[in-house]
Amino acid sequence: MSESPAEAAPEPQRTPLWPLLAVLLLLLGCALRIVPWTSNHGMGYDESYYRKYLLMLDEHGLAAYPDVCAAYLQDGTVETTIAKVPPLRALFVAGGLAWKRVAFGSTPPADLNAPNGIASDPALISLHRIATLFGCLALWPAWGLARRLFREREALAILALFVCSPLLIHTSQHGFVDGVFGAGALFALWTLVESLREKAHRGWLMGFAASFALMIMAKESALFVGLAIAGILIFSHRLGLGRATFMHWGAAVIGGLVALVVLSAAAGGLRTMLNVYLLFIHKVQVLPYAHETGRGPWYRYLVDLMVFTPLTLCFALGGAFLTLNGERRAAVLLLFLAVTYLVMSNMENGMNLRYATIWELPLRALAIVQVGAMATRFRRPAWALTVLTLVLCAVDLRQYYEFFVAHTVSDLASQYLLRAVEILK
Amino acid sequence: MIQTEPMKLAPDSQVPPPEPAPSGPVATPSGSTGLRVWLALALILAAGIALRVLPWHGYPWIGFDENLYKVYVEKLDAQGLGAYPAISAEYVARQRATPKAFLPPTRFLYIFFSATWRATFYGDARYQKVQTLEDVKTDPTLKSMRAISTLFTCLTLLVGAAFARRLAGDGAMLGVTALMACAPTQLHMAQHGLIDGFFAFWALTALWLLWENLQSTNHPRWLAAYGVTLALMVMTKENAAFVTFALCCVIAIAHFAKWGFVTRNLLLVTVIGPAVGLIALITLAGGAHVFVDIYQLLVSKAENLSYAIATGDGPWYRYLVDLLLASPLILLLAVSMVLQLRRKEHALLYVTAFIACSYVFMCNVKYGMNLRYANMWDMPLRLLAFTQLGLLTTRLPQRWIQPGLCLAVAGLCAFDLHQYQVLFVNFDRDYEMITTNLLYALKILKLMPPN
Repeated sequence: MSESPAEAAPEPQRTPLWPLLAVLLLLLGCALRIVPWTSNHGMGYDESYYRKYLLMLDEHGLAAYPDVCAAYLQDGTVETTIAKVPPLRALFVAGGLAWKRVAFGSTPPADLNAPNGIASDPALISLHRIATLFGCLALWPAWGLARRLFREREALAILALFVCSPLLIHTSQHGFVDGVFGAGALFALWTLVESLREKAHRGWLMGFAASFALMIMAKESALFVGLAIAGILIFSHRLGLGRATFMHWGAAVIGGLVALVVLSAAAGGLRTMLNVYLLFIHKVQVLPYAHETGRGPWYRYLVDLMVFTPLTLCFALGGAFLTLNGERRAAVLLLFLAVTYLVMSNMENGMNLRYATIWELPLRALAIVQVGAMATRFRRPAWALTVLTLVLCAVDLRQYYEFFVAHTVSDLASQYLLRAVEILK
Repeated sequence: MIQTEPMKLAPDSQVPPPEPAPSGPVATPSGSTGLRVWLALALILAAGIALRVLPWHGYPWIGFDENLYKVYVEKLDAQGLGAYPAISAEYVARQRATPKAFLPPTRFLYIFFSATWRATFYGDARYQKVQTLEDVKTDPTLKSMRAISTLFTCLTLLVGAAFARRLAGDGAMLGVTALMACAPTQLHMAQHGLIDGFFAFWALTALWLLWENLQSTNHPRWLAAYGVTLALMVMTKENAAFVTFALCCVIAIAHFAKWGFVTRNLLLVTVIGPAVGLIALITLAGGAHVFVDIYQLLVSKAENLSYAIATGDGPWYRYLVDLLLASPLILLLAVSMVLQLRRKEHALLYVTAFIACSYVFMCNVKYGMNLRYANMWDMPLRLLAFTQLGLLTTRLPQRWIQPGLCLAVAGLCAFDLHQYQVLFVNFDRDYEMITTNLLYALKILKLMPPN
């Protein structure tokens, strides 16, 4: 009996293409974030205060952090002053300071009124670089988490969409804390999912505690992510992630406590830390700008997302309903999205698309769930997945161009978005 | 000699031929609906009609368009049909002299129906200028226009129910009718003298009749009804061009996707119906040159109209944004359902194809986008939303599926009524469904206090 050629000579194993594609996508993502692409070269209101904090610390050293907080509280006692970003977004400010010391040493600040002053100011550049750095770093957990939950091909598609996210490119092109916070939240989510696997390495748990702590040090909105993480821990088994143990809860608590200790130390005491946050909340509630731009119904974020990335949102909605109808892979991301959305859409005068950086991966993963389901209806699903993903990426990049290059949008309040697309004139 | 018949493989009349397993919602054959379903439908229809008939709106004044229609209705009422060429010529002369754009008299059917209503119910009541709130409430012409709008949105509810039943069965009929009964955009059209609800009725009827014609080969009544509807739709509003093009595209898709039988007669009626409407309009306008002048002037002036530029612009997804603002849950459910449709779900694909084809035309009209024009998508969107709800509730235990679905539909209805209250009752500064107004009503944009 003769052997068939296939049996006689087994087909040589083909080198998988995905590592190369992943590297290319990661490089493209970094390039989109690093290469200056925005047409708005001004300094935002928030950026100006981050810069002030950075300069104070640069002049007096990190030990002066309590003085910065005291100055913030002092400023807040005047009834007429308006809300300013709190200095306790320590990861961003301290990261900016470190970058400034390493890259610019003790170079004095630039004259912002001089021509090219803003573009050459070391403090602003440093803050911008930190935002860019975290924008690039976020690509790593995005891919890691996508690979954990999906097959290699779909993970690449999610990474491609994440790479082209207009919101993440935007937060990387300015000195915004939101990209830094979004990266922290993504690291926390990824390490949590990894640590929930059976026989997961202890390092994942430590990574989760560390990233959770860093996220809290990035922005006070960490509270919302904390609630979502609690939800994931409670339903972890039903989400198909493995059972959450005392260790997971412990890691979250320890990470949170470490962050609080660091922030308290930076503020000069627990009471001062609380006062800083309470003052910020109080001032934001009476801030005319927040009243004008941060209001709306519960679906305000959906409207903003529809204006901003319409196709991705539509596909993500499809993916969300597929998940509700039994597709399990993105269930954890849908729960994360649902819990954070529930809290964030109920913040009075506190809605802005910038805060939605934490949803970028869940939304894109859900979109790919839908794209994947559609692709199976074609004769060549792999090609269909690729083409559909490329279309979504192209639309997203086009949206970035429309908002941030063709128009000089910086703040993502609804009216600016609607004006950029000329729905409002 | 034994006579033998030639062998035939004809099917035995007692044994029905095997049918492919149905996928997606299944249409109900005529005559098989139970009494309980009809009773439930009657209740839903009564509620829907009450919501349309009873006054429940915020903007208390006469609107800009209403004022223009009122003039036409009164002229037609006073001078009769024979004066229509003169009315058209007057429009051309007036439109030439001003940079503003006025709605044309070629929106004949709405004007005619309103004039007929006025003549029937108010006889020789005198024509008056509407200057006070009391005038708005008592003016016979305005009341007639609003009555026609109300009547036709009620008829849309009926047509929607029949169409949903034929597309997807009794359950869908009840669910979709309930959702339509509470649709904020439908209620708004019923409460004002606007043409778009009236136009949506003809568009939806044409869509339904096309489906019936696709399902039954050369049935003369269905063909005649379809042709007449197309003609009347053309005589209603110039947007009929988009609907007619969309229907042609749907016919082409139906042919290739085998959703039904595309016969020569159907194609002929699709051409002849609108052509008859067009000829009637040309005759009423007093000749082809006047008719062409009317549209050329309208298009050229509308493109430079500051109001249209300020309110009718936007990207291709402008309608999605507007629909999301008005009925977010319906849109979310419908969009997700569209993406999950499979090839065998002909009925849902059919309505999706109609939305998609008309969307492509409508989102490409420069400075010509307004949620009012999307009124004809209300029923198809609700059918898709209802189907998605049906899919979601199949996750429930068997005995909870039906109550769960009823509860979900009731919840959606309640939410849509709340949306109507917020968008069109609490917000009383304007009755136009432009994005700015929706954003003000929802407090996404901050509204300045009135001067």
